[in-house]
Amino acid sequence: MPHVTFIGNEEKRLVERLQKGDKSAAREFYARYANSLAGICMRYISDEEDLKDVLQNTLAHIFSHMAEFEYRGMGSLQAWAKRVVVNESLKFLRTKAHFEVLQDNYDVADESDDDVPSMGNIPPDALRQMLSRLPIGYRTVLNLYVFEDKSHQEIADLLGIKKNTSASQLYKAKKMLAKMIRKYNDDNSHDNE
Amino acid sequence: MQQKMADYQWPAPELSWDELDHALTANHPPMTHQLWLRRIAAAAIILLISGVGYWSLLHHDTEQMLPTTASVSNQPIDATSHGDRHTVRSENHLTGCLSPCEVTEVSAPEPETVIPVSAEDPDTLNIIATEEQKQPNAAEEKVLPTQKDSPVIYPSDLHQRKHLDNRLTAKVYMSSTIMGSRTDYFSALGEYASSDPLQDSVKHIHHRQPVRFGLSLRYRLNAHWSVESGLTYTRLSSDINITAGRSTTVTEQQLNYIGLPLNISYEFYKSRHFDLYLTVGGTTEKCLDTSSWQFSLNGAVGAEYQLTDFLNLYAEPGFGYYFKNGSTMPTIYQDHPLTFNLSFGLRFILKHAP
Repeated sequence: MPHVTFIGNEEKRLVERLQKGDKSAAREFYARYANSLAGICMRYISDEEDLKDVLQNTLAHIFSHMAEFEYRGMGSLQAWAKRVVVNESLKFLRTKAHFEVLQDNYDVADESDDDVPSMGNIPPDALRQMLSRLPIGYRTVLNLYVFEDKSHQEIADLLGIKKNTSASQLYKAKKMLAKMIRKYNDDNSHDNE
Repeated sequence: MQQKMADYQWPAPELSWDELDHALTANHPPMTHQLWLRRIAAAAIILLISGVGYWSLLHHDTEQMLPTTASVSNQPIDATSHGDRHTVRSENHLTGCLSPCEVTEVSAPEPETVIPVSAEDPDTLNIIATEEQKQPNAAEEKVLPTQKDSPVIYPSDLHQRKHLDNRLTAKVYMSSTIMGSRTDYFSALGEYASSDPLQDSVKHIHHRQPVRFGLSLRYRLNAHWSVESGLTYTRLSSDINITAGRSTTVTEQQLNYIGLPLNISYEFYKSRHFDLYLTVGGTTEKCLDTSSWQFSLNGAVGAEYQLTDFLNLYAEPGFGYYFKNGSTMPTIYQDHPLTFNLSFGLRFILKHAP
């Protein structure tokens, strides 16, 4: 799927118009970014019902902090918006789960092969569904580590957990996901036969 | 996995725009208050300048209708219409235009107004004149004797007098774009759609016709050249129509500019009541509503008609080229850098010959 592309300095224009409080710029922002922000949000939250709330808070935060935003070249608005939606997703998840008390209480059967299963045939939607089936702690840590490029220390700080817990949550998340992927691949190859 | 999900999208639900608009404006109080102060200040400047201009106009009107003015207005600018010099002028009218410096003055009926630019041997003059006119020798023969016994007023003299006559002029004008090579220019026609293939958003921008008012002073350097500067006020108005998702919004964007033009003009034709000139220059404009500046180059052909001794009417069809200024506002300047415009107004002669 193509990136959100801008012709010329439209993104900079958009920032200036938002900073002026231009309502049409807010609609344009929504048109350009909402789907992509919703996509990020849906990696974190499992229930689509909650999407509207998180997205609403995300845009409200962005619009009300526009004056503090400093445009630093092409893509900087989008990058900032992504950080905001991740933060808003985490804020929302904190109301649902207490990361502080995350324990390794999910049993993951020790698979004999630790090979990373092939993901070539898995559509992004199926992958998102798998993520949504992960326990909330696993999913959050995996998201932050894999997609947001956070270190375990950063994740620990964000979620108020220990660094080791972050690492073990990630390990288990990967295991569980690999299992789902293998199952998906198996089902798919059976279907094909 | 990162790659796979990098551009993952999910259809965004419709949001509560009331809250979002509030968030947007709460942190950014509308600039209207500040804007009106600026507008009032701009209007005050314009009024002040026009007031001063008008005062000096009246001042000159009552006190300084100098004798030179009267004599010049009686002078035949159209060279073919004056008594016994008829022959000479009709022959040499073109010569004078082509080589205004080749002036021979034998005697001047009104010495205070006829200023010789250079006095040369009549023979030299005739050789040059003949060459430039590419006329047969017969013309030369006609010219010679008449020149010796009657004064010859060449257009350069007329220029000289006229330019002293209106050394300093002020003008008030209005300028507006005209249909040029950009057929999609006017509000109804200036619509373009930019649709983002990824999103279902369509943006239409209707640029209305920009309107500019200006005041300026022109100072004549010599017979042909003059410099001009002043103040302009320009108002740009655009309707921005954005269809995003299920909502469509229409915003009217109005931008006000105060500009400082600097032009040089070259007058290439002059008759009794009518002048033609070329003018080129640049304008620096400050947008009063944003922090942006706008630079432009402009050129025009001007035609000026003398209504009275102190008042001229003029029109200047021309073009303007507006440079990209890095501003994020969609303006007609940014979307259509090359514009054609018609400026017209009145020019007041403030200062006559010293």
